[in-house]
Amino acid sequence: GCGGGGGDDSSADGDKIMIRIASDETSDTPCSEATEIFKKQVEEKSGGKMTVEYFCDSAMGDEREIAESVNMGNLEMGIISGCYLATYDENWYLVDMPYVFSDREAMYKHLDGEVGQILKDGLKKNSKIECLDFADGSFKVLLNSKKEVKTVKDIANLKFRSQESQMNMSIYKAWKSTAVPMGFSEIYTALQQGTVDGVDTSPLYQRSGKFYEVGKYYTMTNHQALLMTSIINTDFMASLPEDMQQVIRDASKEAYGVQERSIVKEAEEYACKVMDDAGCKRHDLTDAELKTFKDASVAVYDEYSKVVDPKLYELMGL
Amino acid sequence: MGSIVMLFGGMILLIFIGVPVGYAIGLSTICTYASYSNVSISLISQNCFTGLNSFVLLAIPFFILAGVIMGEGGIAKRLVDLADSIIGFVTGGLGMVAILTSTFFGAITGSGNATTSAVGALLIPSMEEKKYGRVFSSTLVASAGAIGIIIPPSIPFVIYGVSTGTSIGDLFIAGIIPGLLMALVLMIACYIISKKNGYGGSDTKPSAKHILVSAKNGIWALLAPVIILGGIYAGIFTPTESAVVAVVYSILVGFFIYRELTIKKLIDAIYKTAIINGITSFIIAFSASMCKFISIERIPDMICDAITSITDSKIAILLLLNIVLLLIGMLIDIIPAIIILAPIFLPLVESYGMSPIQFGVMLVLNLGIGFVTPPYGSTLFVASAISKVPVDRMFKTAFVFTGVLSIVLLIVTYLPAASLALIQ
Amino acid sequence: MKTIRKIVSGYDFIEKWVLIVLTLIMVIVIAAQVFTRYVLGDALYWSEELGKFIFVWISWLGVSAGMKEKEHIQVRLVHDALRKKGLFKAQETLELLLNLCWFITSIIVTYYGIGIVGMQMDTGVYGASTGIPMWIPYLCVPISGAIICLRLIGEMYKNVNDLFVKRKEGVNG
Ligand code: NA
Ligand code: NA
Repeated sequence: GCGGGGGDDSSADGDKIMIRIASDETSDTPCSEATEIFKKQVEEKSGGKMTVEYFCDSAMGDEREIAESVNMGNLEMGIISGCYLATYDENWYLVDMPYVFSDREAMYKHLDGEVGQILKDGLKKNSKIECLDFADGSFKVLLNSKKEVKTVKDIANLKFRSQESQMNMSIYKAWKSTAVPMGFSEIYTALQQGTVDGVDTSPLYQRSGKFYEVGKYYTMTNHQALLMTSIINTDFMASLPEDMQQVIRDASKEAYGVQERSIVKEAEEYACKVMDDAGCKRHDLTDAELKTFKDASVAVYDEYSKVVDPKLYELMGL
Repeated sequence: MGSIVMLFGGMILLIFIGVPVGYAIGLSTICTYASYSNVSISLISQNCFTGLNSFVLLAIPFFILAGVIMGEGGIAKRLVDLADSIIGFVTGGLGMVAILTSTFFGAITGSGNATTSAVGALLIPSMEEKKYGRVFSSTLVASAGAIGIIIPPSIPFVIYGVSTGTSIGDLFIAGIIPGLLMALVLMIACYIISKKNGYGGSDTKPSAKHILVSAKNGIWALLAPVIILGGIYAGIFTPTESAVVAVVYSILVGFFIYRELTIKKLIDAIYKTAIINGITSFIIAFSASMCKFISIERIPDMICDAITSITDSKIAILLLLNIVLLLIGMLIDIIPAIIILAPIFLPLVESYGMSPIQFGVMLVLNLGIGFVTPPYGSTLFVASAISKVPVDRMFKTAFVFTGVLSIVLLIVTYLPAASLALIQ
Repeated sequence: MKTIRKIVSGYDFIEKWVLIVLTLIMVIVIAAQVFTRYVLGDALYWSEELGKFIFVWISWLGVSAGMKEKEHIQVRLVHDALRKKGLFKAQETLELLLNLCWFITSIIVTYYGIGIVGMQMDTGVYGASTGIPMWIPYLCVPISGAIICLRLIGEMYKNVNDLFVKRKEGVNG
């Protein structure tokens, strides 16, 4: 609210280390809440030597711009979707593939294990970005204004707004549907005017973008993990003393790797409830219906087998 | 505090001694970054790219180009002839046409700059031909640009809705009455000024025959707005895409139906567009850097504290807030302003019982009035680029329109029904 | 002097045509986006990003072209006041000062712009939809910045010339 405690000229005194962390999310999402935890932990555990300033609501630009800023060192840290890291290291296409993780637990296991390590190493090698931890932005669901979607056949000839990434184009091509790339701020009007028929994002962002106001149906396809990452500039990290680096690593692990994951399920249920209450009709896929989506997605695995490390395919059992 | 003085003081000083507006913003931002922040100045160069890398902004050169081609290819002339045959006998009639066209375009684009560039390129030359003052015409079109973001759809409302969690659909509906009120007060002001200066108002009364002939001549021209509006509402294209459809359509009609367009005219139109875009769009990039600094320094928080420390009467706080927002609108661009201000000011007004919808309309209207307030008046710059009237010569007239639009602002601020009446 | 003038006018010609061609491509690309989606039923995935990259390029090249056409948006109050009072020397000094402010900004933007382009080349980042290496769209910042600086050096040379050399000649003649 008003005041909010900030506003001191902290950049002026040289001893204090300032960490600016940015995201494009509103202040009430699980990742934003986790960032408050991160801030508290870093400031406490560093004995006040480090301060954290959080800039949400796209104040520092959209996710792509935040990634670039962290890469260039104009921002120390960011919280962004993993899909934007694929332009730095192509292995990251893996986390964006449809139905690549069988469920939440399997996803955590892979990301905290060898798969996650390969992704982190590759990114650090190819850029000045280090991925600290993986948070859970929930899974994408399909919302549309035309009809109830039950199988992959139902979305043929529908146009879905999608994030600007090659992977999304590939997915919709494999599903015989059309993806229309556009920025987050244009979606609402496009959906209202029928420029697109639907939008694919997780319930968290279906809610924050208010898309349920203009779409009538949503289907729990859970087809793509909306993976969130905490990232930090490697030069900045290296400039810190060992003990301070550890403080940041521990706080990030606790905030994004543990706490965020424990609140996301609740947030997801709440988001679905908001959509239900607004009269948006929910459909849960039966196993047979789900299979139609999974079968149609195999073409995507083949397409990206050339750019993603074979070791990762092997680990994921693709 | 020093940083605020340096940032805004430096910018105002540099603009008024005559540094090109964009570079005045750029230089004051660079100096402030260097003196008050540990962020690398390279952020400015980064924003020179990222600040413009937006699909929504693409609509601006397209609408300018469409307007210029419509002018060269005979479409504009026929549209204006038709409008003139209907309303030309009224004092200030063509000015009113400009306001109404802006309202229509506003219902398409959702962007003030796009509205001003489309209507300006189309109508400023025609108004000049009919002996309207150039300063008056350009300022009027610039002011009417603000209607474009209040009448739905509106990009600023979407940004506000997303960053505060307010219903965007309700915001759109809430904008209808204030938007029409803006058109109304501008038309009244246009009538009074035109009466004083003798703009428009020929002796010939409109005749059915004359109107019919003009309508027949202008049928293809009339189809242009129909295709743009229809295309968007039928969901065939986005506003940015509609701008490019308008370009293609006006090229086709200009070449093959009216046969007034030539390859040479088309090339000249494209180059003219590139120049107008070149002297306006880069300002947005520097403005983006400036707003990042305002965010980093938490300047809106400081303003919020200052206001509440002065008074706790609701009427006074709302008045102060309007003044502050108008001042901010003088200095920075609307989209970044909403992003950094809305989340901080909304809780303040909510604690005094104002609905987030009403505040959204009030905020956007304030910043929309900022389109025509010096020194940073974005639609003023676009109108100036099109009409070649120096911006400083527009300030006085802009001040009149600002005052007139402020009446609507007061209504929106103190009469909740103005924005909330149409929402169930 | 003559060769410089030749080079400048040659560059002006190239700049004009690059702007015209890029703007045309931008129109065609976005028009194709609408056409393929509605007529062929298949969306282009690269058109939007390419359109944006071209837009940034024409915007910054347009700054330079706007200088050549002397169309930049400037408040002329002080300038006009000085001219009305016949203070030509003060007016020329002001011009020099304004151009200097402009030059400083531009040189800083260019300097850091080169750094960013170098960094984009090192990390090998590319556009998500087009696959264009990101240093190419970013390149417009240092390139146009450098051209603007060169144009300003020419302007400032004229300012100094008007202030000192021409005045002397005037007195002598
Ligand atoms: Na609008
Ligand atoms: Na303004």
